[in-house]
Formats: sequence, C-alpha cells, structure tokens
Amino acid sequence: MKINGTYVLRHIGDDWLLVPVGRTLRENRGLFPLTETGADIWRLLPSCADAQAVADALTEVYDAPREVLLADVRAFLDELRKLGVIA
Amino acid sequence: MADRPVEPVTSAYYHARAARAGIPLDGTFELTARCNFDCRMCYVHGAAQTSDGELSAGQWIALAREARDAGLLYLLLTGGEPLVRSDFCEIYEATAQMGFLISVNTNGSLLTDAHYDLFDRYPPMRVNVSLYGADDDVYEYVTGRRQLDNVCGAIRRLRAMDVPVTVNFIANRVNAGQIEEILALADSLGAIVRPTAYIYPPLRAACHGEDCDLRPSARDAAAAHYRIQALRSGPQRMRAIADGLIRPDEEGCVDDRAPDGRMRCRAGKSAFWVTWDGRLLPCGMLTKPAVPLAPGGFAAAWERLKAETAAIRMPQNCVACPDYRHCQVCAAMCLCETGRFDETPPYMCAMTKEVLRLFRQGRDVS
Repeated sequence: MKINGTYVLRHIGDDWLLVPVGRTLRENRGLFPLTETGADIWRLLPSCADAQAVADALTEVYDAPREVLLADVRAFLDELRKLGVIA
Repeated sequence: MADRPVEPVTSAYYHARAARAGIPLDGTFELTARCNFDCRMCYVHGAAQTSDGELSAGQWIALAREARDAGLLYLLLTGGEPLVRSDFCEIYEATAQMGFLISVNTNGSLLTDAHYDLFDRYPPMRVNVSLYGADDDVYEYVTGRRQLDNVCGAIRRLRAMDVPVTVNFIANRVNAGQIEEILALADSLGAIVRPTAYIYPPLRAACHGEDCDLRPSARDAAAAHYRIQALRSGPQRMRAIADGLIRPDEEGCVDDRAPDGRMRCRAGKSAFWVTWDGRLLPCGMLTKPAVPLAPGGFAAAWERLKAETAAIRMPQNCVACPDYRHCQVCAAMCLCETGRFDETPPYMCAMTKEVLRLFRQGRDVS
C-alpha cells in the first residue's frame, strides 16, 4: 500500500507516534499518535496490497476473529486516508 | 502585534508523560561555541574561536541515534552560531531523517542557498532567530556587527518558504527602549516573538571585551518585562496576572509546582543539553551536574544526570516565599547568580517583587 510522503514510526515510552519527515512535514505538520495495534498495522502497510492482506497478517499475531481485525484495519485506513497519509 | 508562542497541547502532554517516565524527550545539541558575532553578554562565547574539542559530525549523528533510541523527539540545534560549522548541513540532514521535530537557533546572518535548499527538502519545525535591536547602531553595540538587514532578509526568506520563525529577543540596557519596535518588526516579518527581560550572568562564557554585562538593574528588567507583557496582553490577561491567576512569565521554563523544593522545569527530567565539547547537562545555563559523554554511553549518562538533577533543591527561602509560584526563579538562576543552588538570587528576587508591584499597581489604577 502506497504511503503519501515519508514518516518515521517512533516508540517513546508507552507511546507510538508517526513523525512526518522531509517535505511531508510541510504538508502534514504535527504528530500522529497511534495505538499499539495501529503501529502494528502501519508496519504492515508497505508489504500489503490492501486491508484484506493486512488483516491476514494480523491473524498471525492477534488472537481475534479475522472479521474483527478486518473491521479495525478498515477503520484505521479510513483515518489515514482522511489525513492524506494514504491514497 | 506579534503572536506569543503557545506550546501545543500535544507537546505539553508528551513532556508531562516523559517527565514522569524519565524519558529524554527534549534535547539540545550545542554544536559549537564559535560564532561570527561577538555579543557582549553571550552565555557561551569562548575567548578562542576554534573548533578544537568540538564533537565531529559523525559523533553528533551517532549521539542523535543513541538519544533517539532513548526517546528523544524534540531536538534543538544551537551554538554559539551552529551555521559556522561547515558540516552543519551534514549533521542536520542526517538528524532530520531520524524522526525528530527539529528546531534551529541562529543569529540569521549566515544562511546561504545551501541552507535554504536543505530546509526546503527537510523543513525544520521552527527556526529561532535572535534579534538584538531594531537598528544597526544598537546591533553593532550588542553584537559587534551591522547585520540587521541581512537577518531580516533571512527571516523573510524562511517565512516565504513557510518555515515557522520565532524571534528571540533579550531586553538589555541598550535595546530595552526598542521593545515596541522589535515587536512590530517581528510582526511585519510574520514571526512569533519570544522576548525575555532576564539575562543570566554568563557563567559559561569568557568575558571578551569591555561592557560585557548588558544586564539592566533588577528594577529596570522588571519594567521591561512589564512593558513587554502590557504590549502583548489585553486588559483581562493583565488583570489575571495581577490577581495571581496567571504567572507573569508564562513563556518561561517553569512548568511544575514542585512544592517539595525540587526543580520546577523539565531539565534533567525530560530535557537535556549536550555541550559543544560533549558533556551532558540538564540545561545549557548550568555548569553542573555535568556528565561526560562517551561513545555508546548516552543512556547511562542520562540515568546519572537524572539522579544528580533530582537531588538539587531550590533555596528554602524561595520555596517558602508567598510569591514563589509567581516567580520564574530556577536552579540555573540560583547557580549563575550566587554560585549555589540553595541560595536565593537577590537579582531575581528583586525583579519578581518589582514585576508583581507593577502589575498590581496597573490593576489598581485601571
């Protein structure tokens, strides 16, 4: 999945943050706090083509029904789209 | 009128969490003590303008990685004048890719096309430009240079690139009469102003000429502080300060009540400073505690710094003073003014009492 711009995922204490880097900082100022699950999803995005693929990968890590994971993934990706982070 | 800097809620939130967890969220890299200016009152200016003893670019970059792994998020690059380093771009570009929010302190006189290109590719969160006066005569007296137009041009260019700029202005004996002009100038340039009327005694600097001390009297510093607040605040805010609801120096370092006498700022809790020659301090205005930094040793040095800083106690007279919560006195002021952490600095004491008197007088006649 293509990410618009460059972000660095930071884990500071108990907090997960997406920090825009380079010209992305001008377009998307500020920090993006993530949950731990959000951070797991974020790390899968470059290697997954769509929400289904992300949910499939998460089933390897999370003990939850696939349809629940898929719903969470879709909600997270919708938020990223609203912020312009993904297409 | 130029806007006052306001810390974003997210920043305050993460700093509070970091302070509780002891994470070095906020760091300053003092890349050099060298500077192309020769400011009389500089806090770090060395008599010798040499790069001997400075950390190399590779060392700064390696240190940034270690600090990042320990939790650094907000990174300030400062000096002296950091842009005197021929390898500034190398250091900046490497750290800009590590996931920090980077700010740069500069006197604004050395920005070249290479720096603007770099800031275009890797925009800083903010550039803090020091303004020393509203005309070149004052500029020259304070800094030894006639650079006002050049500096203003740099601010304009940064603003045209949509880089946020904060103007740092320190009111001293020579430029205090230009406060209104400075605020108006910053406003015309599209910059936020961070003014201060308190000048630390230059504990870490070498006196390098006559009239090194541009500090006004405590009474005059208080008058400058009051004037700055009056120019930037509406009547409601002024009254709230006079009534003790808001501290007179909201933009200062103090952000914690700490009634047990501990330091009230983030230094050594969530913030640190690395000197140009590789020592870890809680704050750049302090000379101790200072922990030498060895390669690979940031995490251990940070733990030691936190422990030594936590042992510092403010003067009992200050903690017990009814005006303590309105006062910006800090451990660095105590050390710089008196040589001790546990001794009330008379200058700050007098300045605070006069500031509060002015606010209350202003309230009572309005």
